[in-house]
Amino acid sequence: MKDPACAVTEHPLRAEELLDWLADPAHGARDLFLGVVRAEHEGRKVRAVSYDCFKPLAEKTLREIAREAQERFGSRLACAHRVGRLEVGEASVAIAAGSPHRAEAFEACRYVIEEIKRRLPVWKKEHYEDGDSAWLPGCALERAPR
Amino acid sequence: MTVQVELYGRLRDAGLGAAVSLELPEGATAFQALEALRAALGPRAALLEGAALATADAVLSGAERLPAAQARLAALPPVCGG
Repeated sequence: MKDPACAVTEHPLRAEELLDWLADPAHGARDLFLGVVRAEHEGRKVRAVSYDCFKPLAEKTLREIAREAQERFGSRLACAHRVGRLEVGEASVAIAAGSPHRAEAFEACRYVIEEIKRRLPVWKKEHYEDGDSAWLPGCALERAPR
Repeated sequence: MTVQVELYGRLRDAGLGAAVSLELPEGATAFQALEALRAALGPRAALLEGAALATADAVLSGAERLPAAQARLAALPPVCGG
């Protein structure tokens, strides 16, 4: 299967481009997941979120995760993660999966977002309406089997 | 040997800037580098809780020796992408 299309970028995400890249007449399903910046977190009003990343490892890890999803679910994947400062409502992550039937496309998107949260070297700093800001807790990274 | 370790996420607020230079013995491991970083952080060492050391290619286990001096090294706190 063709390699997935993956990117870690400072630019706004274009979901349509990911979906177009997946176009395949053998596919009856194209699923799109968008993660967007929320205006509230644990009772605090959020104005924006800054995403930091270790880019070379983030790009490699995102590609590995997408390849795993392609192998597990027989779907084609295109995904992108944004970094930098994002305002409420902007997309931080976009995952598109295409497959012959819908179940595999849904499952592939779910797999990729869960693995991103667990493995991608990306960090969020929330900026609140009251002027305060805070890094969010996360998952400790482990050495991948080789 | 002197190694440069890039700092990410909450470690950027440790007051050490975007990277820190560490003096380590030849053949030092990732664990030794993290311990040296812990010492450099001083009273802010708690920021290193759950952190891992990584190259541009992979997260290192504690027992792994550091790569050649010119390789990028980064201290990565627990992640929360998405």
